[in-house]
Amino acid sequence: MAFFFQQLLNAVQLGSIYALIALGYTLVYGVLLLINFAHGDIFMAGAFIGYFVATFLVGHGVGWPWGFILTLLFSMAFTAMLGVGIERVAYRPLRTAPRLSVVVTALGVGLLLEHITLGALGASRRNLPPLLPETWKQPVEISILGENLNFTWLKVLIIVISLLLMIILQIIVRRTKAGMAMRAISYDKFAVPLMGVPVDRIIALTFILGSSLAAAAGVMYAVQYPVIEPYMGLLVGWQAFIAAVVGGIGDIRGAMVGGFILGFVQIFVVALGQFPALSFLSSTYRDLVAYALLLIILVVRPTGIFGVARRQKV
Amino acid sequence: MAQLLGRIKEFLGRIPLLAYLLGFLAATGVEIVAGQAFGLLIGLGGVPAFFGVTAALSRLNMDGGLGGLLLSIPSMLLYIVPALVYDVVIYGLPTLLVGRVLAKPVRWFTSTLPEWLTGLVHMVTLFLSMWVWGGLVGYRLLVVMYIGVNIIMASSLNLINGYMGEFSCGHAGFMAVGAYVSSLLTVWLFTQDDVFGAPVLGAGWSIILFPLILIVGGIAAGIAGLLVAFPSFKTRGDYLAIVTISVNFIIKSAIENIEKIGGPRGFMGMKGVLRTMTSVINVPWLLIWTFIGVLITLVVIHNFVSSTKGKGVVAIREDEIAAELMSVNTRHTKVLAFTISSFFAGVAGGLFAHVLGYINPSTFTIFKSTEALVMVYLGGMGSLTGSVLSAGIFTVAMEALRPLEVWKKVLVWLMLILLMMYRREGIMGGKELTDFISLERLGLRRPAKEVKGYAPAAD
Amino acid sequence: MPLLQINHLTHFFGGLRAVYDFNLNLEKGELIGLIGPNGAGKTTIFNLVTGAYRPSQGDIRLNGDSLVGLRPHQITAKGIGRTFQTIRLWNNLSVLDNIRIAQFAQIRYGVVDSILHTRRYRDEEKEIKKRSLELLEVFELRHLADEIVANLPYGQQREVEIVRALATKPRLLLLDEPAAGMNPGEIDTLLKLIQWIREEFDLTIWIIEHQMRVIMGICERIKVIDFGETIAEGTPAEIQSNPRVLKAYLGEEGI
Repeated sequence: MAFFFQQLLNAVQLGSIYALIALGYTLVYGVLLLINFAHGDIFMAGAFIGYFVATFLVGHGVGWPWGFILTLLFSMAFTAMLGVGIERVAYRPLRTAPRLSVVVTALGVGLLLEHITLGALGASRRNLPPLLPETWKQPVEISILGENLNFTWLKVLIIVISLLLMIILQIIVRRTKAGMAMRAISYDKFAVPLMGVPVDRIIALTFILGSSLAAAAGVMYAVQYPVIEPYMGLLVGWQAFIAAVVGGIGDIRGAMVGGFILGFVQIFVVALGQFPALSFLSSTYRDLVAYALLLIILVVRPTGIFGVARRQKV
Repeated sequence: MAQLLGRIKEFLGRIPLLAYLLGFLAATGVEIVAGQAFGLLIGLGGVPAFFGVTAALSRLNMDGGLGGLLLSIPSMLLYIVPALVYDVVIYGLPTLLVGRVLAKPVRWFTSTLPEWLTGLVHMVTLFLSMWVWGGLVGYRLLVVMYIGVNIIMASSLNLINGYMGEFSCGHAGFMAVGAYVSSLLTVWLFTQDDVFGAPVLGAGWSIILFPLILIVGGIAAGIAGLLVAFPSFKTRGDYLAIVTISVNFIIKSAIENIEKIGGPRGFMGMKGVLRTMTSVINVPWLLIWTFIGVLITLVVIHNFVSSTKGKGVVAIREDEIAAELMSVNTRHTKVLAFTISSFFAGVAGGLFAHVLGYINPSTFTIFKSTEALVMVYLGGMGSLTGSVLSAGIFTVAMEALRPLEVWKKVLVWLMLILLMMYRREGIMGGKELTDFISLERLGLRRPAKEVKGYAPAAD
Repeated sequence: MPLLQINHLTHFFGGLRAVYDFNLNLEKGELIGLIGPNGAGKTTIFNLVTGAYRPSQGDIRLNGDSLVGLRPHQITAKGIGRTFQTIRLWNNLSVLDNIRIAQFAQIRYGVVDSILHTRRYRDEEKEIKKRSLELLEVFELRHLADEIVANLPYGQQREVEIVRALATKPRLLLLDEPAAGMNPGEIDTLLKLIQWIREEFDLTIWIIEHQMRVIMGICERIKVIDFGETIAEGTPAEIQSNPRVLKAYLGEEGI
């Protein structure tokens, strides 16, 4: 029982990170009908930017909690600028081009980001300087209903911050004019500018939102698993992409649900490996399972859980 | 000036292809005899490995930051001038001279002999020049074989992404299947190694069975291709891209999890297979099989897509629903296209594995798939000539830019993005070489006789 | 036995009822029309017959054989050819290629034959090319055989689409708004063309049209649908004076 609860906590925490990244994919897809393959690398960029900001702050003696908060905010801000910049330079010129060109460009941009980071910063892994007091990472034991349960405050923090960000996103999307415009664009890209909506600005907003969420995920991921490397986007970002597709790309609920589903599947597959009968299930299977799940979903229900099929007129 | 260019163009145009090939063969002869001496004479230090390109670029200083880089540019330029001289004297002049001299006899030759024979002679001459030129510096053969592998990869992917207009991003997965299946078989059968123990068959068998094993690898890859073919019935575009990426990853991940064949550490032993083969007959087996592989790939794909059955593939690209309603069996066609495509990717994988001598799963990730993508889009979707050209350019560029280390990949992706923005159709823009220069001009086909009524088939 | 029998054909798109209880007996050699306001469900019926959609309910039979559940290419091979409301040619291919590909189902040779260029392959390809050029010749389009379809003017594209449909060797030809975008002179030529191909290729023809000139001009029998339901049926004269038809097209005040 205790074991289950621990894994549940891990799953929710991992899931929230996936969900944050998945939201970025889904927002952009909803508005531009583009799968921003570079988004996973924006997550990576967020983590690296966080690294530099944190190093600067800690070097100047900024401690908890401001070190953490400022790292988070600055990383979100700078990464948002990166995201908008990419949109401006790489995607906007191709707005009227066939879908294929944009998708290939997105792939290219992602790989470009990875290799520039690799070239400029080297392949060695880096650690984030400590932003949290050590105690937050220590397991805390509490007793509920007679069971001894372990958790760390860090995991709780991550979950809380993620949920907070998701709520803020929901408010923006559902309650503001800009958010409404975002949803309108996803229905009809050409009619919306005729209604006086500044399409370019709305699209920029989409990228700002998506990239800052990814950056937040990047920083929190780096705090939790303190190693960052240029290939993070491949490892974590792609998984989040799977989450977005499983949930139904283009639908915000889908991104969140998909993220948590993926978190659960991955944690529990590895957890099951602890049992002797299933000992072949090691962490290397984690990725395999994720991708196999994706494949199955795509074959059985291509639009994902919440996705709506776009009908093609014959 | 224009007149001069016109005269040059005319001069070059009068030399048929076979004459050029023979000229190049003569040039390699010149290089064998005089290359080393000439190279020393003009300050290159000997025979340049690759027309001087790699050597020139290696003069660039990558470790000293931007300043160091800029300071080393003069050094690079100093190398380029003698390199150019070398290329002109050793390669250019003999090729042109011999080509001009042989133009007339070659033309007589190609117009009297049956077409299949002239085609064969072209192939053999090309192969011989590769062999001789490559033999002088070991590195060259390697590059030539890489070009061959890449041609197979690019043209097989072109069938799906170019002709059929789909978006397959997982080609490396099929390459991996072919690479592993054929390597496991050859190493098991023909060499002594840690995993399988003693060789099972005698050395003589290796020569006969090697091509068959490559085909088996291809078939295995073709079957893997079904993993993508069936989802393609219901999904298109971005979604199919995701499916292909997942399949690529699943294949790579699955291989990683099989400890017996090395898992993430990889598998080796193929050099031993090569030694076994050369111990029986000492010829560059891999060059031969790569060359034949390229030929077969190009012929098969070309013949398929120019047939009416094969045009169903392009009809799917243009309008799939209309195709289905006009009696094209789209499912059948898709399965066919995907299996042919992945079959050849598997063959390319098998060749690649034996050329390299060592394979591991991380060679076959989405990075490799995107390299194949770059080649297809660079050359032009739906153009086999384009795929051949771009595979050549890409491979050479990758080798030439090696001194730039990791930045060379940055250039690649940058190139891809710029391509998408400014020249989506690639180099050839969907046309083949034969759209610009007829086969008759090249000397590969006899001039068509006048036939009343229908014109001779031009496909 | 009627060539085409449609019984109680009903189709839903999700919650929307697009076609309701459509029935038809089409005899060999007939030339009939299907008319109705925009969105009435006419093209949907064509799509159901040709297999682009699988009917929610009902039966469709060609010469007694049920077509329901068959894939579109199988239905086409059985003898139903069609053109589209918006031209759906394969734009970046030549006119000749468009006609060749439509003969896909008639190909006997296999992939291996095409790769090895066997005798069987070469003979069949020659046949296909010959047949295609002959068809084009009949429509005086032969000189355009190597033209890329996208470069042709609209009228010629429409003709090519009809030739392509004929290349599938149909017994029943479905024409979806063949006169769209044509002026009266062009329509008259079209009418003559349709009647001529009916004779020449021994076809049964079913036309969807808006333009009265076409419907009244050549259709022997007409069915009128609105909101997926059949509201009238009869000869052109009968339909012209049917109040329900007028109401559907013109609204209450129009009568």
